[in-house]
Amino acid sequence: MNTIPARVISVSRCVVPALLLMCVALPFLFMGRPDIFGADSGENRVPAPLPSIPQSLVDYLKIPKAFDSYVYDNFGMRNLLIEANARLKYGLLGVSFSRKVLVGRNGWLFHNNHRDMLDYSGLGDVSEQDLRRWRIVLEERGDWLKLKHIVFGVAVAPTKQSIYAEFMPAHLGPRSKGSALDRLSAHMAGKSDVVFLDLRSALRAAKTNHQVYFKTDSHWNFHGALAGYEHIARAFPEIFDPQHILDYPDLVAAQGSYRTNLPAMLGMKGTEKTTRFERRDGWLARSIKSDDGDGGLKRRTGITRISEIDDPSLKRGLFIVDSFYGWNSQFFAEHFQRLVAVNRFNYGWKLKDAFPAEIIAAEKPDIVLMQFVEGHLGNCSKPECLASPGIESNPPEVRQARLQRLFAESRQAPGHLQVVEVVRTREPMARVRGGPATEPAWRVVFAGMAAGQHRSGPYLLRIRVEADEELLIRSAFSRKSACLDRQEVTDIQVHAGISELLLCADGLDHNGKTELRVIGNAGAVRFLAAEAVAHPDL
Amino acid sequence: MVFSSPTFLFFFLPLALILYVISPWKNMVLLAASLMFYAWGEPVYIILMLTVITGNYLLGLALHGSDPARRRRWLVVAVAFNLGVLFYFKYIEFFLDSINAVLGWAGLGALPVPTPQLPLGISFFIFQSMTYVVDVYRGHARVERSLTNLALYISMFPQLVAGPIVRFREIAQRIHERSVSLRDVSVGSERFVIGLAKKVLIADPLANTVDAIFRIPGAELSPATAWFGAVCFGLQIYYDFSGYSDMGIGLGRMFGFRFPENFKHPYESTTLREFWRRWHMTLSRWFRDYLYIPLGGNKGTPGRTYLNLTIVFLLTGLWHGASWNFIVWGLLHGMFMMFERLGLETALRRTHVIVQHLYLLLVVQISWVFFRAQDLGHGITYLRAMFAGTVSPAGIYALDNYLTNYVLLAFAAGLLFSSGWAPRYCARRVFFSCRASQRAGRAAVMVPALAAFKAILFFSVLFLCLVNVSAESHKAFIYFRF
Repeated sequence: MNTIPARVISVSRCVVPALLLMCVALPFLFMGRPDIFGADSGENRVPAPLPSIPQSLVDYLKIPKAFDSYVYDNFGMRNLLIEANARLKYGLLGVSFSRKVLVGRNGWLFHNNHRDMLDYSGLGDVSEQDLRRWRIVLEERGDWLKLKHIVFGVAVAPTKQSIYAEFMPAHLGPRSKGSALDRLSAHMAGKSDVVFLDLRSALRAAKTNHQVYFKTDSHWNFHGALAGYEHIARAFPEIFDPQHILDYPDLVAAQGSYRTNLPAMLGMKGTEKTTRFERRDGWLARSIKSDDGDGGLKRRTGITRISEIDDPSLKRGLFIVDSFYGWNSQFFAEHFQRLVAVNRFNYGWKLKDAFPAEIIAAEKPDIVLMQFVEGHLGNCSKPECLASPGIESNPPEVRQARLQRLFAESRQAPGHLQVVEVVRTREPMARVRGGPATEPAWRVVFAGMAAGQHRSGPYLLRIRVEADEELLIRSAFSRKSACLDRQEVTDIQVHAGISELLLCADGLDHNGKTELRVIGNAGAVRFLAAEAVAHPDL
Repeated sequence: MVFSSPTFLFFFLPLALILYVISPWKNMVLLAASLMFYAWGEPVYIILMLTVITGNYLLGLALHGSDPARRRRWLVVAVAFNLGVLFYFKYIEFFLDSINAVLGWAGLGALPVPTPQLPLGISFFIFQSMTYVVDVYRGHARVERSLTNLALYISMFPQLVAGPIVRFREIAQRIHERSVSLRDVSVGSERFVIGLAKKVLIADPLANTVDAIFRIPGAELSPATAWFGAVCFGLQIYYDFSGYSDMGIGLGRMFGFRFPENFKHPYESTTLREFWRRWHMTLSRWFRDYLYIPLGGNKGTPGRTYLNLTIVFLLTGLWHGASWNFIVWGLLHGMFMMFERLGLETALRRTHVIVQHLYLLLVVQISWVFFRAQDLGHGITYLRAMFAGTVSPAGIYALDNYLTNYVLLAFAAGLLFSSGWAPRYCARRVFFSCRASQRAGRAAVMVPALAAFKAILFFSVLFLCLVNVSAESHKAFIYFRF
């Protein structure tokens, strides 16, 4: 037997400590150099800065979190380690380490938005109330634009999994019941005259000839975008001259590569070959630099792209879009002397799905078109959804437009009631929603209600008031309010002067009475006239 | 700051090690690091930590310097002080909510309920503080006259937030005087890496799956998915907790301390009694020495013993969290402990060892459901899905959705290493190979070869851990965030 030299034992004992020390010390020593031995991580965000020395107790309390963020974003060799992680998990095990990416079949990646996947699996919980909310928001926009003689349309681009379900993991499909888009399409077709375009059929048709979505990006590619554009353009012949709608013969294809977003979400660099199009005789539209370069205009207004053609005979357009527009914007731009695109869907702009009435008023377009991806529907609680619950998607003047149409449609119908008496009282009929029980109220008494005409459903009230200052008039006071349940207008801001306002009231009692409350100085407003109508869509 | 975070691994640990090595004031460096570690997670409650340290320091001195009658009084004060802190911060909300539920049922008005935020690691450092004062009272430990040393004992960062629960007398001598050998650093490093791997490579991937499955609405939960989620949780909690203990023990060893073991392959047990000798051993020991035995242990009548067991397991449940599901979890364990004493254990001993294991795993697994559930109702719904579910959902709730290669790999590794068989087998092979090579006169070759193999193995494991830890910092957005 031979003995083991002590030096050998000592050296062997140093191995693991040395490895551990090296592994933790290198990222420490290279702190601030996350890109050493590795490229940009493609995370689409600004890394956290080193926190400054705390000046107050509040600053002190924030230090650990701020420093954590700094270390997380800046430790040495970070990007290399992240990419190694992605390569190991995706390359070796075929799994995604990011919850935001779903690994499909044959190398296809999908954006794993929980809401979208519930919808895709047929587990989405879109209620009748959701459908109604979406319809009302779109109808209000359409009616407001119609008053201004502007064409309005809505086009919904499908999510990638709607078109390429065959590359989704088998257990996630097929749908057992309709998706949100299926249900909204049916709902809109039966109840609304808003032009509502479901682009799935166009994309499925185009799919037979070309791949219409990127394999590793969440968006459609230029083929898909072209199919979407054509479908939309043919639906509005008054805006898009059918002779000038672009198609493959008008375009020259060129191969290019595109850095796709889903591998970046996995921490890898990923590019995909794609076909880009050039117009055979050159693009007419040119992009206008609309910003000062720091993204300020985009943040303030959501305006992402402006293009112009020096031809006053062409129409003007305003598109409300999401990121899918990036691929078909050039095609649309060829039809307009000026085309402005506003993106308010993306949460990054923090503008929610707010209707850009002020930009429309300034731009005076001939058409307002909404083009967004199916994912903005669904059982949605986030602000980037269409008509997200709890968010006023439309400004008051736009909300009034639909009520004006409903009022006009019902005015001649039986059941139109004229006010006979307005009583001011400090003793409301019902408990007040969000105000003290002594809040000033009006009892509005209508005449003309014959026996048996009493209707429990909501009424549409048109009131005329004169106010000395700004205040709020409210018509719904309980959680069980039918008007609130149906997403109708129940609160309305009254400005100084004479105003004519429309709002939904839950119902008249047997004596033809309903109640309105004044939130603010009740003495500053005078009631001039009121009418009530019933409408089947209320 | 958790041990498996980039901040700990890439900033705190190297800095603490460097300062510890170069500084002549080892205890001061370790105390400063420990307080900073705590303040990182609890910038406000560091004041509470300092109060607990100072309070126990003064109470220890008072206990030591008093006559026997006064010592008892000081002990009551010390226990009341520690339990009072624990009760207020951990249990007051649950206690008053429960009282208010009774008052509401009786038609009486509700009491105001304070809602203090739960301080990090409070259950651990309060229990450690209590062992100090009780051991000083019993004469099992010497009073600590240095505030720094006692502060270091109570706040020492390797075992501060997740144990093991160390008795003062176990490390008092090493707090006063210690040396760190190369072997300590080597063993400590290896233990730390093993703990990190348990946490990062097994517990964390399973945790994501468990979280997703326990979020599935009851109506959509199939029996297969529910069982998979429950077993995953059993593995997750073991690897998470024992991994953290391993990291704590390893770090302690690197700084020259020897902490007691906390886990010994508990899922190898065949009875619940054995399980509690292998699971969170320092907590079981604490309850045995500071509660069960003072209550009379098993020296009284059988009825008294069962009452003692019930009290101990009720409090064990409550120690893990202030809610009814933890109480049910503790009582379930207490109930089966009683059944075992009443004859179940004897009956089990007559069966095949596989039946004994199955019994243990079933009881433990069912009780884990209550431990993981959001509340008691959720736990019952989940158990119903496990045993009486009829759902076979498609889509994102289907079991297939959770069976990714990565999760299956972690699951398989979890199952394999939950028993001590694999490590024992490897150790035996290495031992016999070494002995054979020594006999053949090739020891000088064998040792470096083994060292090289170990280096490759540990480097691979460490690399996998670090890439996983780094991935935690990756927060990509589809669109640019301003």
